[in-house]
Amino acid sequence: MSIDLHSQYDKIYRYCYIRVRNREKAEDITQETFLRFLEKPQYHNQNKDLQYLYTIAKNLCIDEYRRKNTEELPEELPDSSCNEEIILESVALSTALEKLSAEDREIILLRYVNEEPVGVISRLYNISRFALNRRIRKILEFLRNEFEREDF
Amino acid sequence: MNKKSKKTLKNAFNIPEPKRKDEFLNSLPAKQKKSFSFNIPLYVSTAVTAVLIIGIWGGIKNLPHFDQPSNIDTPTYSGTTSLSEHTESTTVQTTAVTSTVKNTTETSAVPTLTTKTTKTSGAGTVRTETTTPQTSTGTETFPPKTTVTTTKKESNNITHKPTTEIHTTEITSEPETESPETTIKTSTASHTVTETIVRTTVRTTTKTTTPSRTKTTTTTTITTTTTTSATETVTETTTTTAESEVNFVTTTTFIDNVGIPGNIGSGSSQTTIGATMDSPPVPVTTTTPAPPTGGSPIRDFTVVPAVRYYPEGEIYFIDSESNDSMPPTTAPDDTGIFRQMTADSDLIAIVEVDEIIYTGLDGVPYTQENVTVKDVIYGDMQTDSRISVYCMGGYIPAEEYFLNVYEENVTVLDYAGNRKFSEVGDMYMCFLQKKDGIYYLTGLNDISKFECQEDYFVNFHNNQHLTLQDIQNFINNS
Repeated sequence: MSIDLHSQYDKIYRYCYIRVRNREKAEDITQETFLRFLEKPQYHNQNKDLQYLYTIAKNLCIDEYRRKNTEELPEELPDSSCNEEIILESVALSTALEKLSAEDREIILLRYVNEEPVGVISRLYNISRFALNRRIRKILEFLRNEFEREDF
Repeated sequence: MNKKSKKTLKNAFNIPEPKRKDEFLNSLPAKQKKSFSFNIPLYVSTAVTAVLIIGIWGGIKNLPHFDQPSNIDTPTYSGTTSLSEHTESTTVQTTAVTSTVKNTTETSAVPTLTTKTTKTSGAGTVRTETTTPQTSTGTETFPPKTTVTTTKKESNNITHKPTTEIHTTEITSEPETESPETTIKTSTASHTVTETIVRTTVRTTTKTTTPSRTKTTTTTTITTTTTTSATETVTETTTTTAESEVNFVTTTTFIDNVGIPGNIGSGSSQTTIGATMDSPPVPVTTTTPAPPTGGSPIRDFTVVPAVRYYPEGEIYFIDSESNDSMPPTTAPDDTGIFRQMTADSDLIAIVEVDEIIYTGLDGVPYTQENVTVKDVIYGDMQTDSRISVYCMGGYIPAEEYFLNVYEENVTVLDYAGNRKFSEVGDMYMCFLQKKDGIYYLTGLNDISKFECQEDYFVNFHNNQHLTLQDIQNFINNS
């Protein structure tokens, strides 16, 4: 049980962070998301819990963005336990990710880091599953082209 | 995605670890923590399913089996013929009439399919020709055929059957009339007959105009039967069809009997040989499916996919069916989704799966189902045609799905929101869109598929019910 809660927390936190780009704010929003979710029994639908969590988090991020329209650099470097190859790849990939739109970055994070189902993501962004798959495909092609362009 | 790639991608986002996570989670009451326990049964069931599927796959090397309701094997449906009632107008062109000639002979009461020819003199002969268009139940079609029978003389020389048109013609020719072609004798022994020449042209022309959404079909069948010798009957049948894109065609057929020696009748007038007509010809109306073009009963519109995948190696499940499932309901559709689906569809049909092919388009897995059309509810398609239906989801090699970030020998099974996949032999009703010559499920997944029950259809995805009348209303209102 606790593993699931930890996993969900990490996923929502990552999602909030790439939106607000501030750890403190991201954690505040993440906790607020869970509190709001737990307060409302009508959200507790077995098939739509993920959907509700992300929707609540998204709305809170939007509110936060409107309050404070600033972006901050990340506070920490990548995990120092990574070997050199991973670090270099991460830097290259990070550069490529920065060239994506904010929404595309979110989609990639949700799909491959948070490993959320396509259905959840498509409803979150109000696009069809087919359109989402095509969009992911294009994003990955772009990242691969950008990644290969780096001299590694 | 393998662990290395995940880690690379995660690091690329440069997301710092949260600092207050444990503090927050520990502060939650135990009761609230339990609200997240829903995931465990879901993951356990998914894992168990995956183990079972992999075990079955490894044991018998078969495709995964998806549970099917028992009634899908024996679907029944009704009301298909009622669509013919929606034909706004029907125009039938007839080109021939029968001619009957009085005679005093009797014919055999036993219908036969053979004719005998002898040179006789005396009373007239009775010869009956039948043209038998078949009435379809909606599942089979047969081209019209002509048979020659002898029947008992009727008072009006015409015998009717629900699906067979029989016109009995009696001809009395001049005694000793002889032609190089035809002599027909009845099979009774109580009288003698004169030899006569009979050349009968059967011409059936049908034309049906249907509601504005379907095309007009004109079918012309010309059958010429010529008896050339005492023991041989030559029958020539020429069938031409201008269009045949309508399910049901109402026909009115007359038989043109042109029994004039040496003459080829125009088919549009009555011709007799020195006799009078006993009674005017009576039209017989039958309902028959439009015969296919080219003389072949099956039209194959299936496509060959550019690539074909086979499940092998480790199976990686994505979007298992429960993620996108709507709660089952037996209530009628009140969301408008099927109304919209009807408006977006080019073809609504009942099909039977003949073959399943796993393929992909731009890295998105699709399942191509080659199906036989069993009945058409809406759209330009003939029954017994074969088409390819594309449904989103299916098996695809991981390297095709995720651009080389997966390990080798891994196959992805993407449910793409489907609750279940079809199997060979399944029969279902579906809404289809046509793009570039290929039919896709209108909703891309099994939201567009329905099990066929006796009086209604049940949606694969959400168990909602639709009746044929519902669909007809959607069509009429769209």
